Order: sequence, then C-alpha cells, then structure tokens
Amino acid sequence: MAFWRRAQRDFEDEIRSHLELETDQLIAQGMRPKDARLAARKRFGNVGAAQERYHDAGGLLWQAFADLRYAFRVLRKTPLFSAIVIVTLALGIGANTAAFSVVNGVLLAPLPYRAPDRLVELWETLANLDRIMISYPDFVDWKQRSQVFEDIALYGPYGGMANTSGDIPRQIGVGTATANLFHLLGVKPTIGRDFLPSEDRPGGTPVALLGDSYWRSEFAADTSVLGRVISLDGEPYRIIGVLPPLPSFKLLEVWIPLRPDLDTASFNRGNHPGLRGVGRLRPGVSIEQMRADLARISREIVAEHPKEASGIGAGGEYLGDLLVHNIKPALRVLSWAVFCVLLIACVNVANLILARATSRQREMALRRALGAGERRLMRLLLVENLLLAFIGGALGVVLAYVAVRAMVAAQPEGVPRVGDIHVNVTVLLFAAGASIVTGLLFGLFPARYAAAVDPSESLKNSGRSSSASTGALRLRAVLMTLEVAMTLVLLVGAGLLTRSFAKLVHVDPGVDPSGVTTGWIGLPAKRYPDAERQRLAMDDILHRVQSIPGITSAALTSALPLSGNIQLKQTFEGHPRPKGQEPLLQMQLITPDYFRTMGVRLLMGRGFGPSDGAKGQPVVWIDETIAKAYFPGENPVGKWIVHGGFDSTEPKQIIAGVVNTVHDSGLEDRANGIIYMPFDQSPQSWMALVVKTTLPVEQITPSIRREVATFDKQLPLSNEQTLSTVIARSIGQERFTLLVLGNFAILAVVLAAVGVYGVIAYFVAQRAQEIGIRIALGAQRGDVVRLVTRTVLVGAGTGILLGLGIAIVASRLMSNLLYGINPIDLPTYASGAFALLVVAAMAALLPTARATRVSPAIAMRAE
Amino acid sequence: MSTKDTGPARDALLQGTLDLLVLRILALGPYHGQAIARVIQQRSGDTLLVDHGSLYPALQRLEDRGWIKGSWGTSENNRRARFYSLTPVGRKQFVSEAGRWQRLVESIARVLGPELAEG
Repeated sequence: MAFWRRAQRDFEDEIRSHLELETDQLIAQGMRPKDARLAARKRFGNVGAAQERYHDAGGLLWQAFADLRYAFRVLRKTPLFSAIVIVTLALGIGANTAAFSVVNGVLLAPLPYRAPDRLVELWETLANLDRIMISYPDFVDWKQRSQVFEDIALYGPYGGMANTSGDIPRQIGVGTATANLFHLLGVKPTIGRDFLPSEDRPGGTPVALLGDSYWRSEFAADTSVLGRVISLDGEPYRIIGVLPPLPSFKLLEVWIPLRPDLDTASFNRGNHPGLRGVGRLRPGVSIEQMRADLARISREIVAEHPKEASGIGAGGEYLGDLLVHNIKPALRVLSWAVFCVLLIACVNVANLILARATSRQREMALRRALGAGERRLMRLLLVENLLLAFIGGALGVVLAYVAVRAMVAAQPEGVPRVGDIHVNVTVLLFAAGASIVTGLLFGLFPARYAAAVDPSESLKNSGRSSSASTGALRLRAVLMTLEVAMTLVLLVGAGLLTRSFAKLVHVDPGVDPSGVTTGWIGLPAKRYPDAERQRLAMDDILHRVQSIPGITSAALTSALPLSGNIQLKQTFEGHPRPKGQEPLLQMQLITPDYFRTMGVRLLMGRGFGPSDGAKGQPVVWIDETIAKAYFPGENPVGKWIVHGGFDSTEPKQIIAGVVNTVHDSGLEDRANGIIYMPFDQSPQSWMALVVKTTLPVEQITPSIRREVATFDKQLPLSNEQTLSTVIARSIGQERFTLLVLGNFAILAVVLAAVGVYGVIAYFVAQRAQEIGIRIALGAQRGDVVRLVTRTVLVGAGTGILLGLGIAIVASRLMSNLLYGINPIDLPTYASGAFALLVVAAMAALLPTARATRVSPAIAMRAE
Repeated sequence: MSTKDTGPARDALLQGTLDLLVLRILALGPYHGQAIARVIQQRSGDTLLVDHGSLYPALQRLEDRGWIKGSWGTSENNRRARFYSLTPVGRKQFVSEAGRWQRLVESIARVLGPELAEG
C-alpha cells in the first residue's frame, strides 16, 4: 500500500474529467446536452461517497490526516473555546514540564561522573556526633585495610585562599584533594592534565586545576592558561588543567593537591581538619557492606590508638543521595502539586468539552444517521482533543522554557545542580507524553458520551437543545466533586507553606540587622603563623576599621548568626555530666563591641570591658537559652564553665554576663545557645568583621576594603554581605520552595476557582429549563433556589470531604518542609474548605437566580 | 463494493471481479477511467454494468498496490483525462488472477453439470 498518495484535488479532477467524457459520449449517442449531463451524473452516483471511499481505501496516515484537517476546521470555527482550552492546557502541561525539568536535572539525570551509582561520600563519627571530618592517618588506614573500595580519595572543600595574582587580592574557594580524586570520580580535565600521583607527596611541585566557572569568569575561557602561574596567598601554583563542571563541588574555584607534609600538625591522628572522603565501591558492594567494613577498621584504629582515636567511628552515603537530600522532599511536593494543577486543567477542559458536546449533539446524531459508526465518531472527537492537547502542550513547553530560564537565572539558594536544569529532549518527550495522556484523560469520557448518542432520539428533539441527559449530569457532578477536591488539596498545601514561612520569617534571630554589614578576613598561615601575630593583626585591622567615618561600631566574630560554628563539649560549675554526655555548645570568639554592633542585649552581669584582654581573667558570656538549660533557677553570673568533661584540665572561665539568645544555625532550628569568648584570649586566623553604619552599605564596603588593604596589600575582604542577607539566605531554600510551590498554588487556585465556578454554573444552567417548568407549575422561587443550591452544595461538600481526606494524607509528604505548624493545621484546612464553599455557593446562586427570573412562559416556549 | 442493477438483462458485477476486469482491459493498452467502464460494458455485450462511483476508488486501490500507473493525458476528443497502464507487476498479477478465475469458472461449471448448462 502506498504510504502517501496524490492530492485529493487530483482525484476530484479525475471524476470531473470522467463526467465530461461520459457526457460527450452520451451526446454523441444522440442525447440532448442537458439530459446527457444529468445522465452522466446519475450513472456515476454519489460523488461524495466515491471520495469518501477513496479516503477509506487510503492508508491510516491519510485517514488521520483527514481527521486532523477536519479537527483544525472545527477548532477554527470556535476560536474562543479553542483558545480557552489551549491556554488552560498550556498552563497545566507547562507547569508539569517545568517541574519535570527541575526533577530531571536535579534528581534523575545521573551525576556527570563515571558509574556515579558506586560513588560514596565518607566521614567519621564521634560518640555523640554523627558526622565529623576525617583524620588523615585514619584515611590512610582505611585506604590500606578496606576491602570494599576500588579507591578512596580525600578532599578539603573549606579552603579559602587569596588569589594574589592581580592588584587587589580576592578570596576564592580553593579545594585541596588527594591526587587520585578526579581519576576516582572518572572526571577528565577538559584541557590540560590531571594531578600526577607524585604531586600530593613531599617534594611535589605546586600545581593547580581551575574549576570550569572560574576559568570562564576569570580567564575568559582562554585555553592558553595552561602553564601560567596563579598566585594563592602569595605562593605560585602552575596551572595544569581545567576541570569540567562538578555539581558536587560547585563552590570550589581552584583545586590544588592535598599536601599533608606541609602542615604536619593538622594531619596528626587526633586532629580532624576540614577533610571529607570520596570512595568508589567495588561493583556489587552495598552501602551496608561498606559501613560494616569501615566500622571494622574503625574498631582496629581505636584499639591501636586508644588515646587519639577514642570513640571514633565511620559512616558514608551515596554521593548522589547526599547531594539531593535536602531538596528531595520539596521536589516531591512540587511534582504532586503540578500534577494536581494538570488534573484541574483536565477537569476544566473536560467540562468545557462536555458542554460543547451537548451543543454538538445534533451534529453527532446526524453523522450517525448517515452511517458513521460510534468508533468512527469517537476517533474524530479524540483527534480533535489530541490536537488541542498538542497545541496546548507546545505552548506549555514554551511557558516551561521561560519559567526554567527564569528559575535557573535566579540561582536559588539550596538547590543543587541548578546548571543541570534544562528543557532537553527527555523533557520534550515528557511534555509530549503528558500531552497525549492529557488529551486522552480529558477527551475520552466526553467523547464516549458524545459518540454514544442515539440518532433517532436526538434528531426527534431537533430544534431545541435537549435538556441534559442523566449520563451527562452524573458525569458533570463527578467532575464538580473532583475539581473541588483537587483544589482543596492545593489550597491546603499552599496555605500550610505560607503559614510555615510566615512563622519562619517572624522568628526573632536575636540580633538587629539594620545597618549591619559583614565580611570575612582570613590571615594566611605563612605570614601569620602563631596566635600572637594573628591577635595583633586582627586588632590592628579592627582599629583601622573603627576609625572609618560613618561607622558607629565594629567588631570581629568567629561566626555569624544562623551560620553554625565550632561546637565544643562544655561542663558547667555545679552541674557535671557523665563522660560522653557533656553538652556540645557553640563557642564564638568576639571583640568588645560585638554585642553593641549586633544589637544583642545584656540581660545579667556586666558587659565586655577593657580588662577582658589577652592577659585578663578568662571570661565568657552565655545566652539565655544556656542559662535556663544549665543553671535553672540560679544566677549563673560568677560561676565557671570549662571545655571538656568534669575532669577537664582546661582553664576555668568565669561567666561575666548573660545576653539574649541568638539563633546559631538555621531559623527553623531550635536555638541551642552560644558561649561568647573574648577573641584576644583565644585568637584565630579566620574572623568575620561586623560593622554597624549610618551610611548606605555600598558606600562603606569600599572604605573597609581599603583599610584592610592598607594593613596588608595581599589580604582580601571576602564574602561581603549585609546581616539582613545572611538572615535571608539562611532560609533561602524555604523561600525557594514557597516561591515555586506558592506560584503553582496560585495558578492552580485561579484555574480551579474558574473551573469550579464554570462546572457548577454550567451544571445549574443545564437545569434552567427544569427550573422554568417548576416555576410555571407553581414552585416558589425560594424553593427552587434552595433545591438547586442544595444539589450543588452536596456535590461541593462531597468534594470538600474528599479533598480534606486527600490533604490529610498528602500533607504528610510535606511535614519536613514545614516549620512550627502541624501538617494537620486546623485553621488552614478550615479556611480552605470555607473559601471553596463560598465559591461553590456563589457559582450556584448567581445562575440559579438568573434562571428563576426568566418568565415561565419563555422557558416553556424554549422547551 | 456496491453494484447497480438497472435492468433484467444487466448483471451486477461479482464481488472482486472489477479489479480483474480492469486489469484485463489495461492489458490491451492504456485507457482512462470512463473508457475502461465503456469497454467493459461493450465487451460483455452490454450485460455487465460498471458502477462508475466504484470504479475510481478501485483504480486508486490498484494504483496504491502498484499494479497500474496513472498519468494525465489527452483523450481522443481532446479532453484532459487520467490514463492508466499496467505495470510489470500488474501484468504478472493479471496472468495469475486470470488463470485462477478460469479454473474457478471451470470448477463451478463442472459442479453445476451439463444439464443446467444446456438448459
């Protein structure tokens, strides 16, 4: 069978030619031309039927093409209907396509490493800490003794160094790694070469690999960087290659080999510097087997080094799981939410199509009377619906593309692999699949209902729109219930998130961020090797900054609020705890003006005074949370605390005062309490500068940078941001979740409100004639209104009950996205249900009221 | 395929025979549709009447199968018409179909017996 054939016009030409030839012949046989033409036509029979048979004889493709042409014609004839359907579907499919792009890029697409399903991240554990950094000698033991790995590597993701190549030093993220890290990952430099095995050993030459984004931003993707020298903290490193984008290490801009021999103090057994492990499991090894193997080695290590390695254990998790651990619940909720949006869009469209099917009943009846089978009609209607779905889908892809572009451009906080989010072939296939499913979903039932029309019944009623058949009414009632249910689920979800976020935003961080800006200073160990030099340098910088006009106060701190920090075991006077059960509390080093700068209030005791210097009595300030938890009902001022357990030999520190609580980690976490210590009594090289100013921040930051540079030309101020930004960023992921889900929820609620109103209003309109008859027969208007409203409210009520049920189950999915409210939060559920009831009642009342105002005579005549 | 009965002397075409007749006519040379219908009618001694409405879909079907080929030309009386000719495949098909038909007719005749054939 031919796949494609000549145009239909050609076939029509041939028939015309036949009629002419036949006429000629009949004339030649003696007929009058007029009779001859008539006879030829009569002999031929039904021209249309011949053409129809020509189609039927054609290939499936031809038939589909014919149906499609017909469908186009139908849709063009009702542009408003088509436009509404297409836009509704575009929103539904677009939302799903956009969400799938995110899910696909973040969760489904494999990490760009070789066999990423065998890559694990490794760490160590301590008695009461389930995750600490790895001690280098322990790593060496793992490497030698483990039986589950093909290879393991170590890397330090927390390195910050100044790029001192240019005039102004700039702080950049520098990763240190054992030379085998990239080989283990299966990542090859895009240009140049990988580290050599000799380069992480004593005597190895200092070399650097550039990260992809740093190479592009800093070196304009210049391939001639190979062999050039980059100066880090004043030391030269030769650039040997450029790495491809690495989603698990995106903040690191330059990589250098990890050289334990250069800083032997940090790499002894008892020390756990900022190092993480990466392992490649042998094929077939499970994560449990790996954990068991590491536990065995840890026991050996503890036995061999009881002093330095006491309480050490090990743990690990798949690299891929770890990366998406935080975002997964949000994406799961997002997927369900957009699915809800699509269902609502489908119900809306199904309702529209159903409404139109009623008005097309006569067309269908006529087609059936002329011999079209039920299946043939269904095919016709399905092609129409699929066409609508595909146009809607195409528009949806455009919408999704725009949405994804905007989202990626926003670089949302806390969303991994943003760079991997694209509208790609997989996504397009998804959109096509979604369109087909959608087209079938919203089209199948109405098509079945429309095609199953009984021609004799329907044609007998010719001339008036038949009052709704029971089947259509029932279907519409089901749609109404479904729509209300889906909408309620979304309303509840959006409501929960909004309330949760509102609570989060209103959590008092414990500091006053107005006019406060921050930046970090890191003193390179080479030039500031000991505590004394670090103290002098930091104090000098602070004095310079304090003298800048416009700065009301300035201080140094080892941690910013909400950002987490070092935690140490503490023992409080009069409250010893058994070994291993000492509380771990955050220690924060500060300079005298810290409390004033940050707006932290002194509640008890005295403030930070000039006597609390390097040589003064060791003192600390504790916050209210600690005071309440560890000195219940006592005055803690004047008592002592000490690092470590009850037998600690560390110097005792006297509590000088109590301040208000400041959130130490995220706003969503309970504040654990902070212990503040004078910086001068325990200096370190990495401190944040906090400055309160009356001037705009943009004006003050350059002056601060200038003052730091006058002190040391190679010292950068890094990560400058206002305290408000620090606070906002700490809830960045929550903000993102709310923003994305909130937008979808608004979209869904608008779609749904329109849909609920449309479904109900149409449901009522279908009964307008019935209402007219009732009134003609003497029913009171009020009775009729009550009757119709009751029907609608029963339907909507069923939907609301169903929706509440689904929401209660579904909200469990959300429980770890919520802060400070119960997933089954009564006010949210109640207000959602109430809002829907109002929409439903309005949708029922307005058309009913209109219907009852129609004079019975007119209604009867119309019938 | 519907057939038309316009009188007692004229027989409706048996199902499936139209294709064979068209192939037979085209074995004589290229013809356009109207001429094919005429020639069938004439050669059957005006007993077989071709339904013109069915002829063209049939021609299309044969062309789809690749047995005949159509191209536009000019008729004897200078009208534009689509002429059909047998393709080599069509010729082979005609020979085998004709043989099968012949055998079928003979078998049926044997079954019916001489009495009826004579009567």
